[in-house]
Amino acid sequence: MKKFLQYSVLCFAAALILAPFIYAIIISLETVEETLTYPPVLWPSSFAAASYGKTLETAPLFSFIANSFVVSFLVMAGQLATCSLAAYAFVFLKFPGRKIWFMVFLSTMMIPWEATVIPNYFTVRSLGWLDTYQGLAVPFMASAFGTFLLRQHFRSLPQEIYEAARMDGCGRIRFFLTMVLPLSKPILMTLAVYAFLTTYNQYMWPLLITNTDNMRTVQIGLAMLQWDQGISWNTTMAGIVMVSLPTILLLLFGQKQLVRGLTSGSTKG
Amino acid sequence: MAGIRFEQVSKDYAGHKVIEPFSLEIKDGEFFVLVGPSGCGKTTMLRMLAGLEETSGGSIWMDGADITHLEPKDRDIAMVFQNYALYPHMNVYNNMAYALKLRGYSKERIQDAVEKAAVMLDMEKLLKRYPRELSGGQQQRVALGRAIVRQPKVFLMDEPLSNLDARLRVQMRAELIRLHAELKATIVYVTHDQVEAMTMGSRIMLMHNGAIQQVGAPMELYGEPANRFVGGFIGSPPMQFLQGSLSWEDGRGVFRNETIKLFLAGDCSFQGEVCLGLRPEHLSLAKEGDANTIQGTVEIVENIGSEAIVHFSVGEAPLAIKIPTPRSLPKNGESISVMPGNLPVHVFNLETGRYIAKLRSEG
Repeated sequence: MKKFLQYSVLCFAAALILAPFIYAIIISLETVEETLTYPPVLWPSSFAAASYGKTLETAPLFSFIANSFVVSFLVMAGQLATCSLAAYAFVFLKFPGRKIWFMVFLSTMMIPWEATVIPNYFTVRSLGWLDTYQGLAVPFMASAFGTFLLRQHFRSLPQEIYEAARMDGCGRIRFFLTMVLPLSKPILMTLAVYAFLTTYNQYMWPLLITNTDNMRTVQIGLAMLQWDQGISWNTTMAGIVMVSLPTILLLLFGQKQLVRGLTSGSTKG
Repeated sequence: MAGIRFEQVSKDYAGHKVIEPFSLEIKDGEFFVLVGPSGCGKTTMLRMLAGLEETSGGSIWMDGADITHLEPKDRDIAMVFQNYALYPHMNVYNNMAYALKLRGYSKERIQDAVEKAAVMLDMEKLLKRYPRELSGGQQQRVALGRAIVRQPKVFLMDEPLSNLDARLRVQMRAELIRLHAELKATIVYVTHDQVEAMTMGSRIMLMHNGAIQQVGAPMELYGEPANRFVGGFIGSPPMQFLQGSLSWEDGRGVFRNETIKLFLAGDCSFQGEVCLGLRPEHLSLAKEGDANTIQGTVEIVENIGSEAIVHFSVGEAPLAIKIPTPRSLPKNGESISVMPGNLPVHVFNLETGRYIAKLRSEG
């Protein structure tokens, strides 16, 4: 009985969360007329996939998805590299003002990203990076949050391992590569998934610095569908479904790591 | 293998002295034990020798070369850590091979060295396992093996047995003694356990509050403790103390306080306030009619079969006696009469705690 109750609650919650997405799939399969009737049609008459073809005609969604993937991948790789190195320095290297510098580092998390949009825009423009992958990716390749996340994990590695490795003749870079990174796989996966998804879902920055279709990313592509088609909901929803699929797949495969990573370090052992 | 020399080495943290300047020589092939209560600075001293901690003054020499400012890896020293510090993501073989790989040894040579060490430590079957799949004792062996394969000049061991259960500790103790004999290596061993120090050390250095109390062979520290601290630390159960005054009358010493009066003999001329150190194993139960006895009231009796320790109080002062093969034991609250017999009684200066003399009871 208790199990039944638990599962009912969980099913209800799952339905509640999935409902918009399922509704989006349903609408994407309806005809234009069906999307405009009131009360709304909850079961398409034809299951016509025509809207998907129409969407792809309107906006080159696949190239947008490819763009987003390239940028998200670059940001992910960049964050993994910079954050892990920064966190390593904060944990394993002794330098004056280590704590204060870390605080300064963290405090940048409190500056809303929007406040830096304009200076970032000017920087990127003066570098001639408008409408380029590097313009989309480079500004996000370091993150205070990622550094914080990794630092917390690195701190949980026993200091003695560092000392033992040093006595075994292991240098700092080698220790980083052969000890710290392999021992931090779960948390690195977490950061990777997190960085990837956040970048994939970006809207404002790509909108600002891309001007041509061949550099646009998916979220802008979606918005384009709305502008161009007015209220043609079935094509818009078809676009949304196509765009969401990669992230949903990624989440499906990465969620275990994500949950494990985000809660690790909060308790010892 | 190598000898080590400390010259006026000291250490302070933020202006606070944790180790007083000291000089010391550790001979080649010696099993040298640093012992003392927690926080006495023994681990810091070991870490300075390892190069994991900077010295604040003085210099450290090994084989005639100044290693004070050398990187840990350049000192040719291997260390066994208290919590073993095995590399969790490597199996036993790779844990042991790691240092050799970094040195660029050939595969065959590494395999040879690892297998030799594995045989020595009786763990050939464990080589493919990961540290998390090993028991504490096995992890301990791997940590030792990791040090052995390197064939370092000096082994450092930081309380390597303290995470093991009592039975395993006794077993590993014997094993370490055997290993030392086999490797003929210089070992510097840190422990807070005086039994480990006594049983394993060729020489012992006892520390307290960052200062060396005494350096010497185990039996030297036991037989001639340099001060009251050493007397109370070495020996199990520990030496017990009585305060009083010592005077010499007609060539024999008289120790007095409110509750007892003991006649002592020996080569000594000190008069004044002293602290008498009595080892529980140097006392025996007095029979009726015995002279020169100490009377007390029994408080706790610990019987472990082969022997019993009876704790009793003399006035305010706690004393203890070790009774071998106990048949009938006194009970709590009973009065007890003991005597030093012919065995040594240590006399310390009450004020400074310094050793004055070893006397015998004169019954």
